[in-house]
Amino acid sequence: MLKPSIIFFGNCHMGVARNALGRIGELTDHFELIFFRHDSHPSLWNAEIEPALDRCAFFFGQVNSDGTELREAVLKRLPAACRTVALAPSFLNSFWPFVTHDDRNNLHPTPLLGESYPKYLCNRFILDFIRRGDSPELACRRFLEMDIRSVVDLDRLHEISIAQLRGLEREKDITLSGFIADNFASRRLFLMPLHPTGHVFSEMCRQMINIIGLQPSAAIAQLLGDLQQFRGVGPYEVPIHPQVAEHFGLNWAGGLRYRHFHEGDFSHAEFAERYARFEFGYGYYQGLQLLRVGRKVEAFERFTEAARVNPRSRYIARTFANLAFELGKVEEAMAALDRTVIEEGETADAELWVAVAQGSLAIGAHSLCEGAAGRAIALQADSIEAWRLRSLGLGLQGQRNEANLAARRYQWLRSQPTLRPLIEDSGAEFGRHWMNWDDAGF
Amino acid sequence: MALVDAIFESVARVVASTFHCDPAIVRVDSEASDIDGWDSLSHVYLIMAVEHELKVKLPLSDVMECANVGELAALVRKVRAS
Repeated sequence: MLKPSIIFFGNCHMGVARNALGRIGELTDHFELIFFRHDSHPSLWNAEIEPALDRCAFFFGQVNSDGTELREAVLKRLPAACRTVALAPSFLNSFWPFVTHDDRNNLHPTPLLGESYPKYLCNRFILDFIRRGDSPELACRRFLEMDIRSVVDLDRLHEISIAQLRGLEREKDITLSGFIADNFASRRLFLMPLHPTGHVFSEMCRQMINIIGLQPSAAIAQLLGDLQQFRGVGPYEVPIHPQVAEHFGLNWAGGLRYRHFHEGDFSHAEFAERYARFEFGYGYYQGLQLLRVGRKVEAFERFTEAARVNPRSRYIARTFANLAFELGKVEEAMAALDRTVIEEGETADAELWVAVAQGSLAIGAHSLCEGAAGRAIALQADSIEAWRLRSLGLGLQGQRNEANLAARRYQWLRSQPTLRPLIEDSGAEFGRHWMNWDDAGF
Repeated sequence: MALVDAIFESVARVVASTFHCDPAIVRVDSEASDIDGWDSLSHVYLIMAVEHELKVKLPLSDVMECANVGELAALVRKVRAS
């Protein structure tokens, strides 16, 4: 007998909610959880959603301006006993008063998401200076020297933003405007106006759990706590001007570095400089496309140039290293990984250390392999590959007992059902967008 | 009437400037769905721009209820008159 379904309808926020609540065994034992994007193609409606509609017990439907028709169509199909829950998309404009459209996006071919600098990243003051004849460098300097508060009423922007959010949440079952208003200064709630961090998702999921009627438990408390550690959705972050941070008392914003797709991470000033010059590492994305169609040597050339242009982008370094290993260019791969380890420092994740371990093994550096694998395990205890590499590294150094212990752990992990990460890495997720790029140009 | 038209023209110019569209397509009945880039999020920037350009402070409860450019202009007119 099929389980009743819980449908999460809306934008990527609802996808995160589905993934998060999917970690509650008490819930998945009794329900099938389904995420349905508000802009889904009709063919997906039939294949994935149709069977779940008739047995839907809870419908969490985000009210999006561009998903209204589909949402209305879905609501008509739901059984009478289904509990329908409405919520609005969450957003916060208050920290980003420079949003505008930049025509320079139209001048450059780009493979991903339509624009190299989406409107939330664009800066109307820098553009005004450039239009008046300033060089990009001068425009950037003028912008950085501006007194922002004299040209933008930040308090009014915040007041309007919260009022807008409250207005959209009127008569909704899940509301986040109060949480956002109370916490926006003390916690980083958004990476850009539309992309929440784990704090917002934790609150959203808490309300969803209450509506479903689950009793509080240690597992749920753990989940909500873990969610707060989630960096957030989206492939880019919009820098916050230091004066804006000072105005609102954003203690968490000092020294932040902001990710720009796979370009790397930049301080506010660095980002402003790159934006003024409209810098973007197109070669890297061209390389990805070449890689997709198997043209590895040409892709490697693109990545080599991309790494030269963006030496601090760990995404480029990792992609470069992976391909270099494949092509047998082990020394170049290791050099790229070394740079990445230095660049990422304490923020380096298990995947990077696994790559270092793999490369070390390839060049016969068994001690380094064991050490790197150990670092990976410290960050991700269930990394199957890390245990395998640790075992190999220890064994090749003659430490047979320790190697056997690691090998047993490796075998045990391999025998377990796949351990899905709590939240899909949003950086990897957005990569699928440019993999749809037509390669006719090559 | 001239003042009414002038206020609408000013608001329409702000709409066109905010959303980088041709002012000629901004009509009294133009809604968010008619103007590319105008959504619930960018509406905030439109309000800021209207207040800045027309030197008014609009009551938030009323401005959120404006369904089109004409209603927004009418609200500006009403606030100025009071």
